Amino acid sequence: MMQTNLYIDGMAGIVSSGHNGTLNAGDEPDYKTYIPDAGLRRRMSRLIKMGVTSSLMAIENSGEGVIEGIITGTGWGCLTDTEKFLVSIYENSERLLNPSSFIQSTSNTIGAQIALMLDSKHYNNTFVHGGSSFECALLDSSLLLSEGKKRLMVGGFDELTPTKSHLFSRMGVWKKFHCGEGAHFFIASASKSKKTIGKISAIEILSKDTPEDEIVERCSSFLSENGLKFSDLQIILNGIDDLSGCFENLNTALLNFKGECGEYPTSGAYGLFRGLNLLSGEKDKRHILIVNRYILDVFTFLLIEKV
Amino acid sequence: MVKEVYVGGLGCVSALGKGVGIQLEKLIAAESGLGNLSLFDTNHQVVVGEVKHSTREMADMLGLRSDKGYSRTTVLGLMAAKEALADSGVNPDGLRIGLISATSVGGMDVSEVFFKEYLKDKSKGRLRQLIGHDCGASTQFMEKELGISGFATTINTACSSANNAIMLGARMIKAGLLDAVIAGGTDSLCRFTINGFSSLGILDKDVCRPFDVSRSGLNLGEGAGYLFLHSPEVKTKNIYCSVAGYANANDAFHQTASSAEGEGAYLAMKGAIEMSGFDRNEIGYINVHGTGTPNNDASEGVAMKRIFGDEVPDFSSTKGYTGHTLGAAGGVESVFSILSLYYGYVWPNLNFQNSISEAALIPVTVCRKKTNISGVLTNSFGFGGNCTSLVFKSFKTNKL
Repeated sequence: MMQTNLYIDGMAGIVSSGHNGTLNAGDEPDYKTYIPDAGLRRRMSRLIKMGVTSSLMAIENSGEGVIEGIITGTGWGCLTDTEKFLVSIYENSERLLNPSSFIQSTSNTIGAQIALMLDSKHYNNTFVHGGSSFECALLDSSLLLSEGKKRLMVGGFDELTPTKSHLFSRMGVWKKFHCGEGAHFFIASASKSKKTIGKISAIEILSKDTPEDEIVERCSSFLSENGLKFSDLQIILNGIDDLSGCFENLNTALLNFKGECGEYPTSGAYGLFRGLNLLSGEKDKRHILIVNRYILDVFTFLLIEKV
Repeated sequence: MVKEVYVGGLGCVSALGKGVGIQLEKLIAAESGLGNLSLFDTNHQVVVGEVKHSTREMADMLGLRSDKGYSRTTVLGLMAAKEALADSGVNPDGLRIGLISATSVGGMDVSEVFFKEYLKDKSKGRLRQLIGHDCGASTQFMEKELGISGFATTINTACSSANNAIMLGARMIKAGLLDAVIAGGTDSLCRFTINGFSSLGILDKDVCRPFDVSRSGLNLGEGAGYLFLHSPEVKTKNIYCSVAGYANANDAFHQTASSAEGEGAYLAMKGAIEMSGFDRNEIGYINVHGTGTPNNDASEGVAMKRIFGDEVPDFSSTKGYTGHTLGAAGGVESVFSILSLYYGYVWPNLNFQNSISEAALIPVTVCRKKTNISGVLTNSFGFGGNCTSLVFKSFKTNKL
């Protein structure tokens, strides 16, 4: 468990989910507004456009101010460009390959692209650790703020490509799980301001070997380490469909959010976005617990509160 | 807050061989590990820094189950990380030990094999081969094999990845979140990167010549390098040095190219040196990024001149020994830098003849004994403008 002091001043995201490996048409912004350079926009994959745009929307939402670091998380990375370059190697027998997709295939492409667009020479890091990539980015951000940085941008994003979707259906993943993708960005500060939407107070990452039937108990100890009980919570946001029954027995308001965003490694960023939007600041019930797991990866808990 | 973070164990595998001992021996002998590619077929004529063992052989050396497939990145990483843990002499029981690993290709070597089949027929290809594709999968497997469970994460900022892993490890120990961290990076050679760098036109068909006027590109390499980082409360067999400074900055100039004035490199080096408390002239050796591409070396050279003026310390690129190991470079080269500091040598920059016009700098060209080095600096820069520098400081009381 790590106690954090991340005051969220602005946020934005793009998400879509679906069934049987096919995404429903989600609400997407007009990318032209945020990436006016047509050439640049054309070269960008959908994920890069989603990531860059949601980061710029988050800045818009937070208002002006220097960003002293860009920290991102992505489990799958830039899949479209990776696939495109891999296919071209075989289809062209390694000859006369276009480097664009190779350049854009690395997972740090989006963090780097945002730095370029903002002319930000500050700290820049990218986590690629499956289902806790975004939570690791939050952890790094929290450390940076405790080390003296004032204001950071932190985001998580993953895209579902047709190939990924097809491979997952061959593995039988979509029989049990919703498909999804998304990009969410947050502006985090070291202290409260007029703009503060809410605060991330604690993060926990549990091994993927933790038995699912122990999770409610582990949530309970996570809460008590933060001086709270289930009955103190405004609501629990649960991203593990299998556990909805266990959480229902707790007499605490519950929202199962996975159907809204589907399974992707950084779906925790959607959970956070959803939770921050719900924070009501009701007296004695200022906290929300967000529980998540991407398919069979690690379990993550986030505690957020209205401040 | 923990004030100092020590390096109490080293692990490395590269084209020079398996284990830290052989790295030291070959560095002193100025013997390069570069040669022809034998791991897989390619149409490209390339010089590479290959680890001379098959993935299967290395998995056997590590005692891994033989009925499973492992990505080369995972096996290389596990080999070096295990060595670093063993070298520390620490029993992990009861300690909060983390694993912070960097990789840029992940399980790509295995995914390539899958894709070749899959492209011919979408119902073909062994799905199990994809399990290790994600970068995080190699770290999770290593964590389990190492028997540690404090925390694990994976970083990918392209070629600066491993320096960022070491930096985060040091920061987490300082914040009191972990007692020790095995931090570094691992990457294997694969068709994806050979074709990628070839499509960019930055692979040299001959051996790379970092900081030489005739340089015309890099040679790819593979390997892994890890440091056992720990707080002063954790007792290790030996203390090599402390992590005295680190800084991460972005060049914010171009997705792949470095700026002419080397702004990102300048900020990273400057930040790391300032944090270390060293005066600039106290840095006894710099292991530069020095890939051998015209752009990198010119930009890095200009940044060095901006910091050190006419008194640039002894420096060299060791890419002529190992090739560019991408996400592992910061791990491998941190080990090389610490060996310089601990044993008192400056490593030669192989294949150097004439200095470049943008920054008239002459690297170390022969291996030289240099005692009383108090600090060393190591640079790793990547695509996306990601630049991270580290400063290691000698731990003299333990040396004699």
